[in-house]
Amino acid sequence: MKWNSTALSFATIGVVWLIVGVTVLSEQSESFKTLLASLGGHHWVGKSIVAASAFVLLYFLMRRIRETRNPLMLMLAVSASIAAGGVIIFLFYIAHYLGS
Amino acid sequence: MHPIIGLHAVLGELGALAFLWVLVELLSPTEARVRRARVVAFLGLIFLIAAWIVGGYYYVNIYGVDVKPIIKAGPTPWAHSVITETKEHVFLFLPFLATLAWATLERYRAEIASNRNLRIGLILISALIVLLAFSMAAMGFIISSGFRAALEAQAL
Repeated sequence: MKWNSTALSFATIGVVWLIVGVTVLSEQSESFKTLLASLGGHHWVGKSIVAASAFVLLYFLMRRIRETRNPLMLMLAVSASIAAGGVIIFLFYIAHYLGS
Repeated sequence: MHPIIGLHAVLGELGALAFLWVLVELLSPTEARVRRARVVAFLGLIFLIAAWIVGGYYYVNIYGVDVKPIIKAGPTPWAHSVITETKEHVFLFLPFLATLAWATLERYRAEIASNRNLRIGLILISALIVLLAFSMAAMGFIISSGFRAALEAQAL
């Protein structure tokens, strides 16, 4: 199997922001948290299932796009998404803790 | 301390060390070094997926029942409310990042030695995996310290 690295990069960026969104939303909406828990018995398992499924789906939807000629730029975009996503989750939980 | 959390930590650190190895191989790649990097990246991916499953089992079945309530009732409840919550969600980035690194190595195995931009990108992704995985270990230390502080507060 010949992987499409460009599609994988876009799928990774998509999943990072999906995890950030689902994490924040599940703390804001009890019904959404319950829905996630119904997927795997616990909301974190539900998030893991959603993230893994979205990654596979995004990759297969994009697997035929042309490979970028500049993979470094895409990997920089992946790194920036990871860093920004991590900081947002950390700051969100600080704010959530201070506000509770 | 439950043995499963020890296994989770070991698997996570093996994943981190694997991608540190990949990073070193890519600093000055030859055909043999790229071949080694591909094998080690695959092992690193397996270790991180295993850490995900084992850590998830511990988090859902043991931490939530036996550890979380004690930390939250102790002197540093933020060790759970901020650090554990951040750790459990940021960890989810790691398996996907590792998949990207391994699959890109496989896809471009013949070009890595001659394509400087690609090599820098892969070194960057590998470094990010190492940094994230070691930050998980640091957060694990803070959570354990929060648990210990809560137990000490109960005992005194």
